[in-house]
Amino acid sequence: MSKLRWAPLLLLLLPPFYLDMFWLQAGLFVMAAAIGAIGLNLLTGSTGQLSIGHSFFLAIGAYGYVYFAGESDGHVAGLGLPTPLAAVLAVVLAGLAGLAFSPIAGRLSGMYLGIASLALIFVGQHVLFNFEKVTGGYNGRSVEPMNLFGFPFDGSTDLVVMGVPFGAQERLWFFGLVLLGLAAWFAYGVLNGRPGRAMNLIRDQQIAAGVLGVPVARMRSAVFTLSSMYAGLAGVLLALAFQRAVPDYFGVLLAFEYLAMIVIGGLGSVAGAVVGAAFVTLLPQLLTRYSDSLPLVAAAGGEGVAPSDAARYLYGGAVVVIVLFLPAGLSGLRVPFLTPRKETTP
Amino acid sequence: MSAIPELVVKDLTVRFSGLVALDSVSFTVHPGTLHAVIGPNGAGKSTCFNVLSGVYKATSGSVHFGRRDLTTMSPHRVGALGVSRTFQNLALSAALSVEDNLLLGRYRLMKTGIVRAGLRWPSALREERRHRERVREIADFVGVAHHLKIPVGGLPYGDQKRVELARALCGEPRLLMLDEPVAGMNATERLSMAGLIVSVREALGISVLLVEHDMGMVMRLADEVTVLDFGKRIATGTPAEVQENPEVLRAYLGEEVS
Amino acid sequence: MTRLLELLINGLSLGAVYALIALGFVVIFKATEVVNFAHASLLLLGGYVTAVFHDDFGFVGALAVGIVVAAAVGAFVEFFLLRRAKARRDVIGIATIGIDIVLTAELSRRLGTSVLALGDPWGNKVVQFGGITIAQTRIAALIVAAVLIALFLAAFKYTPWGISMRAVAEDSETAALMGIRLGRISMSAWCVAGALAAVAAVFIAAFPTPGLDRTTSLVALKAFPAAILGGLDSMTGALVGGLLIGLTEALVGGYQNELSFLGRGLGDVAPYAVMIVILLVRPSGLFGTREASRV
Repeated sequence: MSKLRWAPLLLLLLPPFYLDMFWLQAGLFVMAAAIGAIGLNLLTGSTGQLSIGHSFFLAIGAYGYVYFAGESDGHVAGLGLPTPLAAVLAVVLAGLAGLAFSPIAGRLSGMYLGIASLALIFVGQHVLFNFEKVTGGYNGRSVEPMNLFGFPFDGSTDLVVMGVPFGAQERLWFFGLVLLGLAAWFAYGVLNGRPGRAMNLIRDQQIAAGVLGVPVARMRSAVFTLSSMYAGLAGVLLALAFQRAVPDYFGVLLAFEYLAMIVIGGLGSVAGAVVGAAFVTLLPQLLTRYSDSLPLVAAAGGEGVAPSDAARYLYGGAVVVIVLFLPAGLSGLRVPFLTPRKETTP
Repeated sequence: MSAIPELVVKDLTVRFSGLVALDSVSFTVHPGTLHAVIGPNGAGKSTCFNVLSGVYKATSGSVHFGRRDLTTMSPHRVGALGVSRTFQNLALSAALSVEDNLLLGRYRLMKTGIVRAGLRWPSALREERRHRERVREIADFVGVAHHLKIPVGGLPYGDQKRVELARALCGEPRLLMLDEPVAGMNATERLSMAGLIVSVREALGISVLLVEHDMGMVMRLADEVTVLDFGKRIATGTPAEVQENPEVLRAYLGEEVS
Repeated sequence: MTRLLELLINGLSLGAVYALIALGFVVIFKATEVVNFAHASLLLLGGYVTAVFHDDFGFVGALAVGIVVAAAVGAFVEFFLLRRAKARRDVIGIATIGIDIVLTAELSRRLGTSVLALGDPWGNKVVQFGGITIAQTRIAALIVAAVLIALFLAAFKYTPWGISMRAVAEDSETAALMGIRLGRISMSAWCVAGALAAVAAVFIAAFPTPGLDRTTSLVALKAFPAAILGGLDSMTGALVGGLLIGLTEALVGGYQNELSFLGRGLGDVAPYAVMIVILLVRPSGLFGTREASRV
């Protein structure tokens, strides 16, 4: 029975065969954001540690990958490593950056950490704009496509599966799906096991956690490091989907968006992080795509509210509404078909 | 289980910015006995408890558990020596199930870290299964087994108090510290909690340190009683001795009688 | 030497403005235990309203409108979010991020790429004495901030409102039992914070800054490190933190040619670096109370 619950997820294998580029691209962004949001939710939702520095680790993942995988030329430096190795190293690098922040991440609690982590954004932006050899400066730099054991994730070789030509988006879709699946699976394991219980207790009863033997500071920095690695992985996937990494993208607004994702989806919930990521990521794209047929929203160059602004009103407002009326977020809504009631003995 | 060491509190003093919360308090909890610390409100009972469990730091004096010096240890290291405690104002994770809360009581007996939990390492799964079994036994013993899958926040207060006790027991303690275990309970609940404490002692043979307001309960259960008043120890002895101590009558019982 | 003096005075003036913002932020935290992440957008709002109305009402009138609007929006947030949400305080803190997103989006949309003047009377005039040159706006900022801070601290210390506020900060439950209306105190904190932010907006956007634009709220964000490095629950901390951040920014910005190996635009990053260093040594800030634990 519980195995069958996951069956609807198989539907996620279908889009590359039926949907066009726009949807596949949007889906990739959702997957990347979902990985990052799962990581942030481990920290903020489950452990009660706020981070507004998350986009810094996304940047490290993205630029780490670009640097490790890219080739040097006149403007930018790169190591030209095999792409899978570059991706792994980028995630490790994000983790190390998170670990380096652990004297702060371990000792500050909740909101205090939130404000302190704001520093990461500004220091990060400073480094990204100044470290042009690695980041390409203001205009960013292009991203080396993933190549897994001789299989390229771009359109450079012809591949036709069941009559559908598989270009970059189609291939990356499956790559992203696998990464997201693994990220979610790992997070569930952590949350349902010994570390997850300790994380929840740190959030709910910090002193009791210490008394019961949880090394609170060490646990906080460990979770911070883990969530940085999730952000790093998200950054890698984002870079692959964008095919270009631009410093400006990794600012305060992005960090706020990730917080919006986990609140909208449901704090502390893995599925919630995915739902929230889909909501916040798809909203501007849908509004842009359908701006012609939506009231108030402006088509490109037209009168009215630009789709990106409209999206901000909507997800910003959603955060407030959900904190007020739906403390468990969208994933806490009981959809009879998708969420079977948990067995409870009376 | 290893032998139960004695807990020796010696000249314990705690000051909070000028205010003396504990003034040179000494007492000893002998192995396997139930020792009660009583006193009027503000006598320093909770402060004493918090120092013993490492939450507060003593200004001077010492606390030894067997040969180990607990005086400056952090809470999680005190816990690792087999000292478990409950909290007066429930410190459970309301959103977690009773089972998860009890498993938290076994945190220090388990090993699985983030990586193994995430990868569902075979040893992690085995450990989880083993400890869930033990949790069920303890929940049975305390009488909360039928609630195991329910979030703690949804239970009535009395049951939450029991879960709190069960969680402390899940640490397989050698010294169990109970901070007002029957506070806020009605008469029936008090009686059954008292019965539970007696059976814990009989079944496990561990030392119990009890802070309590309910005098009747203390006199029935305790082997030895230490009375605090304004941060000072004013008496130590068997319940009968303490009850007849004039100073105690004046400080504590007198207050209730009048 | 004159250069250093100029930088110091500019830094103090900038710091006084940050202190003004941080003070509001700390008042909200003390009264409600909520970290207001929408604070920078409240500031942007106050500044925007002032900029829009200064042609019609003159600078003072427009500023008054700006103050009222920012205070009213603060009160609105308190009334519709804080009072109604049953979530934990830190989750409400995250909800203020939602408010910030909406407010900033709307104001940025209205501002577009334009840079608005606020119509302050000081313009780009400067004062010279003993060989140093200081913009009048900087001196005005220093004086206005000092007066407002002094007034605020006096009110906090001596008026019934201030005493209630302190009682609530100490122990809100007991304060409520003593007959203090928590709702009023909490709402007044938000109003005061909004008003202070609106005043600060004037000086953040005034000369030598070209004017108010969509990045003004990013500048205002520096009040966050100011507040936390002083200690989130300490007024003194907010003042010292603000001055420290202002001085750091001015000095590092002023000497950035000598520090060019650290990259361009260092003045904007330095405050955050200072915050990190201080938090490493004192996790609860310079004047913050260590997290008191009641068990």
